[in-house]
Amino acid sequence: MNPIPLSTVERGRKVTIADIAGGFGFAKRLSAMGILPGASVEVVQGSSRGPVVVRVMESKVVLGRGIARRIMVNETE
Amino acid sequence: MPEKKLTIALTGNPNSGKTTVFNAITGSRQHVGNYPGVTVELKEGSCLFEGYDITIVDLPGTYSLTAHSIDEVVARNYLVDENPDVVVDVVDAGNLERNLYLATQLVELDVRLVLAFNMSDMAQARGHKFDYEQLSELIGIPIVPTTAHKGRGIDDLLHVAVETATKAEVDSPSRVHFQPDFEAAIAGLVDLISREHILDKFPARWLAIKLLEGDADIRRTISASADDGEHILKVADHSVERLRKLYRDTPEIVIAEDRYGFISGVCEEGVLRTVESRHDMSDHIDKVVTNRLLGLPIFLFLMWLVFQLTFKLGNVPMRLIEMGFAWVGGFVSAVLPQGHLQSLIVDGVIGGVGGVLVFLPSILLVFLAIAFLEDTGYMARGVFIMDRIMHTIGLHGRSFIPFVIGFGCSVPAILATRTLENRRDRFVTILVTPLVSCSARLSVYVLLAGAFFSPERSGSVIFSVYLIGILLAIVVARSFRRYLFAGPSTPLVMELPPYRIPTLRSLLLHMWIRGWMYLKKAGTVILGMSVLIWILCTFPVQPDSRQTVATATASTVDNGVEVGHRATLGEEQLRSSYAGSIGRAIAPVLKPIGLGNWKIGTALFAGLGGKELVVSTFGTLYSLGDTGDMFAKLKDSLREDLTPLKAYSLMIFILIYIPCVATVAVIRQETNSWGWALFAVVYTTVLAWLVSLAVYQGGRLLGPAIEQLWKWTS
Repeated sequence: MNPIPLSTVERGRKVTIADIAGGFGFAKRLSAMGILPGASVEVVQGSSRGPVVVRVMESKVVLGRGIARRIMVNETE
Repeated sequence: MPEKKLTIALTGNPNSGKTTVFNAITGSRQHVGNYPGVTVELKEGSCLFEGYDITIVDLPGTYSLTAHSIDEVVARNYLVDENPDVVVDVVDAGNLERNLYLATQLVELDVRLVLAFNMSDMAQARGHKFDYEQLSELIGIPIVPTTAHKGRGIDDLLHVAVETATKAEVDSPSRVHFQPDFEAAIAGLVDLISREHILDKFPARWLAIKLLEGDADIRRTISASADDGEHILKVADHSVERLRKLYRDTPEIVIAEDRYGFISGVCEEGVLRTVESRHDMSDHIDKVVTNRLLGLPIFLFLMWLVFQLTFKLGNVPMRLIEMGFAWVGGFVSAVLPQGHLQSLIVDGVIGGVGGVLVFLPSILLVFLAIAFLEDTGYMARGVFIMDRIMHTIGLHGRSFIPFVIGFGCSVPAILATRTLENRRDRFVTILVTPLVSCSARLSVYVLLAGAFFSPERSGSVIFSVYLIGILLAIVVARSFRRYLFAGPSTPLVMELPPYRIPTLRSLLLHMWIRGWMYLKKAGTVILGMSVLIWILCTFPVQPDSRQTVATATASTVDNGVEVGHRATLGEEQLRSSYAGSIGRAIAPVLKPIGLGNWKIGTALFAGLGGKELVVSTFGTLYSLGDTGDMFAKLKDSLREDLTPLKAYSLMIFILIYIPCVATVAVIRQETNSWGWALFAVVYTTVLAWLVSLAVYQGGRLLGPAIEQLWKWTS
């Protein structure tokens, strides 16, 4: 199964982070929030054009469009 | 008795309740300053406990200790340079795993650590059960459960903190052990680093880990101070490359994974989750509030509600303050003999400062509303909703918060831009915020609209001015972002905290902090400017008038003929004063935009001190002492010099031109440069002139057409 961008995942789906593409140093910010390869995350509000809201660990995090496009995930349900 | 002193540093995630803990410990014994050289707030407080005089430092809330945001760098530099006796990490017990990420990094910094499991009541309500002893043993750090907003556990926390700080030896906390290849690389770097004594203040292992993570700040430090710096960096780079090939991911990600692996293992042993349901009240609210269709309308409605409430509710205390100042003015006039001193106090100080303080109730209400939105957690949702729109302007979602605050006063609004990490976003936001019409400018709109447009129309006229301001802000922000500050934006990564019912105390505290800034501005800058303007209006004294503005005023209610004569003398005095000279000098420039009248020029000049001063200066210039209950007379006088079109042009000019002195001072402070402050002054004035030109000349050309439109719409 090929990983797909987080921005294409529908609301309510649970996914596992596969890879975080691109530089810009936001990998560290994401990992501080618990978003890193292997982590399981639920899409609370998906969007192809705007920011995405995910539930990770016990909290909800907003990810801007630029980031959501670069986070590659595998659906787990 | 010798005083025993201790320093406790507070760290923790944003939204973990760290500040509530800080407030609970220090009460009102706290003050806010700045870390030297940066625009990050330094919060310090004190308390007495068990015979110790304790200084508490509330470090900025962070999710980790990387070099990416200035908050994190400040926090870790403090820990390394100041060496507090103990660090209390405030952890949101309901969000344990992510909160412990910071704790693992604190352990790497070799500080004496205590964990406060805050909001433990909420976590327990959500079905978490903590085996504190087990957890404490697993991680090797003392744990104290607290519920800070109810004041529970604070004494226990202080007790354990003092104990940990003063013990001769503390058990080492458990460290995260990384993969063997990583540990080998770390060991090699530690070896090289320990030879550099200049780096002794840093724990060697911490430096090694940071090098593997590619920490830019540490790299700079090592390259600048260590003798063998370049060599160390090369070894680090080599290890990073090797590890990257071995693990398919960058070392920083693998390190993060290992940290969470450790945390996960700990939590599995020490935390029992009894209830699986994860959807709670916050989620239900969010379904509506962040809904794709409903989100924006709800947001706009709430913003509208805020402004309606603040201005309607603010009206009553406003009238009271107005009357109060008028009374004080009358009292002083009766008590002091006529002359310059009386005039200075009545016209200069009371008139000028009173004009500012009249707006204090409305301003406090705006800040209260904003504090409410922030403390309940709604602001984060607002940022989420506005992000897409902000993006089309080229700004960050977080930029809208300063804009909202800017409707009250630009000074706290610009200070609020500190939450923007990206320098480009922050600078553009700072430069554009003054275009969002502040409440001071509103006082001028109210005066002018009331004088030149019918009551039914004046509301829409004022609204149109605000709208133009917002549109301009958008256009200017976009251009600045594209041409002046081109570059990538910081991508949005932001937590949506659970909704909370804020405590009255925290609301009032937040409201007061910002309101205090406005008061300081009134107390200092505007007072100073009011006096200055009074001086400019009174001197040089005309030989035959020998009157002050006040006597000219008093005489307007006297004998008919005398009135005319003295009023003219008063005006003559003003005309040849310094203020009048300035007004006359500017007049030719203002002529093309319909404002070529020396009185207007002078009033606009006074607006430098604060836009409220435009109103009070008009009052002074049109031979009226204070404008309190003389609005009617002032309006009549204005109608002699202006037409509705000119009035509108004036409103537009005031909307855009130079920010007040206080705002310029804050711009300089936050951009750390006189250059940008000067730029703000120049661009706003030029833009104001151009737009007013378009409005005025365009209005004249389209005159007949507009008159028709006016008739149709009345």
